Amino acid sequence: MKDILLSALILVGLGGCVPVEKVPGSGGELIQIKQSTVGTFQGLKIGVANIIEAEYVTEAGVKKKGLIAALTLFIDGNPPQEKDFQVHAGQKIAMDKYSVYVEEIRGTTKGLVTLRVQ
Amino acid sequence: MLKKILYVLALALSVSSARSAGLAAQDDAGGIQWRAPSYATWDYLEQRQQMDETSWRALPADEQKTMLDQAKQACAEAGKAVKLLSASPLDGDRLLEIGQEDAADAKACFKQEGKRLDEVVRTLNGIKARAESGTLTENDINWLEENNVSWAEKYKETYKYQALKPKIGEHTAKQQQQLDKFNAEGTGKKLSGITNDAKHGDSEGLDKFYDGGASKKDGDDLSAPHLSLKAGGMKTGGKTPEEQKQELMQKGAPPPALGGKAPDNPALNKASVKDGVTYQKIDGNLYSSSGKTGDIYTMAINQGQLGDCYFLSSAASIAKKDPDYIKDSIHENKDGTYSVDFYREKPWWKLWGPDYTKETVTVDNQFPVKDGSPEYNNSKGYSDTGKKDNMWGMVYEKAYAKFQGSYGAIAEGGWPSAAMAEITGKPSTTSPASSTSLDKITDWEKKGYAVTVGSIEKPSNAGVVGGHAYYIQSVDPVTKTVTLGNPWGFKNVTLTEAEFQANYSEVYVNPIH
Repeated sequence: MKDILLSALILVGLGGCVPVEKVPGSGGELIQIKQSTVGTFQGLKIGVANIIEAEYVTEAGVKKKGLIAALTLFIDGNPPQEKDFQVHAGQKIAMDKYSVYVEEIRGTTKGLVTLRVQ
Repeated sequence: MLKKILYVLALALSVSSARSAGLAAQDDAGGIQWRAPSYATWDYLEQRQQMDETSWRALPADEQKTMLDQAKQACAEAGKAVKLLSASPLDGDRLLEIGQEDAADAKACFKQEGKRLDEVVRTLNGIKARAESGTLTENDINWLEENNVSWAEKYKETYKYQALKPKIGEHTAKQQQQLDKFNAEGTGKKLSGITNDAKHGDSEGLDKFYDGGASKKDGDDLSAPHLSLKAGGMKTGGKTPEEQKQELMQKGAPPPALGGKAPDNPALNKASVKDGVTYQKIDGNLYSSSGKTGDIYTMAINQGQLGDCYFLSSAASIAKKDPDYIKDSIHENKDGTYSVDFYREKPWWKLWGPDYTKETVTVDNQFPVKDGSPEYNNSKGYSDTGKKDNMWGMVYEKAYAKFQGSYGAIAEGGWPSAAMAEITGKPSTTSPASSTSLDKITDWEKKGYAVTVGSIEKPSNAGVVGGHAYYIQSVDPVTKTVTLGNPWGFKNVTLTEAEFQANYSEVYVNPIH
């Protein structure tokens, strides 16, 4: 019985421990997109494919282990444009006339990405 | 008691007279002998209409004649398609227009030539899908050259361009330099155009829309006059009727503009309401206004902010295998609303009654919109008059949300097996992907079954979205790869059998009929 209670407590504890990385930005429209869904800003579609924990290099050139989100940007024009990115919080990416700032990455399973798009 | 006896007698008499009528048609009314050599379409009737001698003999003569005429017409059409195989070079674009259904007709009518046509159409579909997802292979190019297909040259260029395209986050300076040079020479532009042609081969409306001017884009949807809401001028209680309407719509209430007779809108999920998503009217066509039936799934299924990939993949898969099934399950009502048929599974505790019971859900043409764009599933393509085309996917998603209680109820994931069964009323089967071969998938595809797959949470392949549902777009027997359609409307993926088995957990199959 004790073991079950202990396991339950550990699970509750783990359940509450969602990794989050945030680098607040400013400007643009704030869009939150859940993993495996698609957000839209004007003619730009942003798909959040996967969120993983891995090593990356920050803009300041520092090696860091943290959350990385795989995003796909898509513009259904003529011709359609599609581009994949692996991003960390605080990173800015661009495609066509759009610029996307990654403000927050939250969770690895069914996670959430907060972007500022303009 | 007397009533019951009379009823049974009447029933017996009617059955007897019906049987006599059937026999009379065969014997006296000029019934046509099964497999009579004077008719050449018996194989078609057997394979495509599931006709056999017993069923044939039970038909009245006039129905036999009608069936033979229809079969003759179908084989004549299929004959035109088979003739395309004798062209040199083979016209890839025209062959793709044929579609799997016509190819199957040709196979039934013309055996060897039909079989060849079916193979060619399947392979071209696979190559088109890979060109679209940037995963063309050397085998594809070889096949196009060996079979003297008109696409060979342009796809050779696409293949070269694709080789220069970097993988996720792997832009090296050298790759970028090559890519820039390639684009600067104009080749990149030309190639992108080719892949777009392949992707939108059937979307005449879309092409016309783009030809009409580059200023029309997704984001401009609601600036078009057909999408505008009528704003009221009167103020009531400090709020204009329009403000009151928006407030009610956010709560999922029917819009007062339709006099309260409109069907209830399913409630939006909480996150969307917080983000400022509201219901707005969008006029448009359920299908492509150009009248073409091919590819209704790619134009209508483009997932948005809801986690309902399991439902959208199911709908896409069924629409791909049997577009008419979808068309038959959505009814356009005279008042501008749509009624959609779904099937409710019998609760586990109920021991009696059918396993699935049909339920029809009615919705109108108001959809969740934010900043002018549909926030959930959206359609592609526009008619000549600027109206949205291929809206059946938006209607279907809204009706499914209503069937399940709200948009929130379908937004957090689910099982394609259950969704497919709720669309068709037929139970689905589930198999582990790790032991599912591409041959097995081909087998299901040939039987006309709808097939969807679910990816593992943490896929090793960068092109695969984790914990996501896909539908089978094509299996290529030449390269032994499977192309999976993403309900996002982009980021499709082509994998070998081993990659497929390693990155997916389950395969869901539904017979549709």
